[in-house]
Amino acid sequence: MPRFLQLYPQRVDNLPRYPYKPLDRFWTFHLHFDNQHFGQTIMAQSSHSVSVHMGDYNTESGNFRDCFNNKFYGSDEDAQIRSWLSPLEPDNRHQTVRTDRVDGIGGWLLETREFREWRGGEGGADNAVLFCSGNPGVGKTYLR
Amino acid sequence: MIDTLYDQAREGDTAVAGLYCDFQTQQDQTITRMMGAILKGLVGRGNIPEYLREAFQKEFAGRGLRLPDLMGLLRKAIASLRQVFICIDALDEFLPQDLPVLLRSLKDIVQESPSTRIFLTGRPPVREDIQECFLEAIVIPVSPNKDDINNYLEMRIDRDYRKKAMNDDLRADILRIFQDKMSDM
Repeated sequence: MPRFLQLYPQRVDNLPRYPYKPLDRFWTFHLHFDNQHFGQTIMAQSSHSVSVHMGDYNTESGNFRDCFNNKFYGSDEDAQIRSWLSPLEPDNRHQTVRTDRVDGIGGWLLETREFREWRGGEGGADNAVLFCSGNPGVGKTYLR
Repeated sequence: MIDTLYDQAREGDTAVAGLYCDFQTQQDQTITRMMGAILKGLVGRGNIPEYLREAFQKEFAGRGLRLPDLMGLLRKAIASLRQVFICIDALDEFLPQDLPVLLRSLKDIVQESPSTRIFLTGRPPVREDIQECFLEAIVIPVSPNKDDINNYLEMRIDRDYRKKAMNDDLRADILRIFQDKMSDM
């Protein structure tokens, strides 16, 4: 048995194609760790790998690879399309804001008549914009 | 705000796109990138819609998108949703010379689909730019809120790793000093 390295899956790239069907109860697949190309055969019980949907047991390893990568990384093309739309990643900043925020801060805004009318969309196009105006550091970013 | 709208939007075909402007990376925040990020936000983490995949593969064949291209794609994205929220934080940190174009583009979106809601924040001076484009924009002044600041300070004090240095007197002093400073803001 090769020494077992970290058990997090890296991207699965060079899967050998198996000439046989995987057993019904077991799946056999190779993962390579830390970019070293030594295969660690893992016998995973299919009942424990519900998070990876294979479709059927006749799936070839190529499909498994795509399926695996899609599941954990999104397909390459999806990622390409996302960065083609914009290289900006507002989600990253959003995570930081979310972590630093204290629960309930800025809750007063949600109670205002202005917010509720805006949120309800009553004014149509005329009232589409709500602008929270304030000096630096008053907490605009952290409003909830 | 993004989270609040998102939570309220869980059901139904509603999408929330949130953007942050940042003075330090101002040059990177071009109009097309901003509009592209709105579209990316509306698409979310789910599957890429077919019209986008086709646009990528065929129509634009992966070339860089221009503003009119993005507006067309945004139109399609918004038409497929029941309601759309767009939140942009710190508009005053966006490139000032491009701000009117950004606002104009948002206006185009709103005129096309009047149910779109746009949430903006910024320092008071950008109000003029916003109201030039959106005459009826609702303006809410945000000032430091006593309870919010107290809550935040309490959290930070509790989180402080130098616990031994803290006592009730010091805690009270800190809170009082901040309250005094705040009334000057």
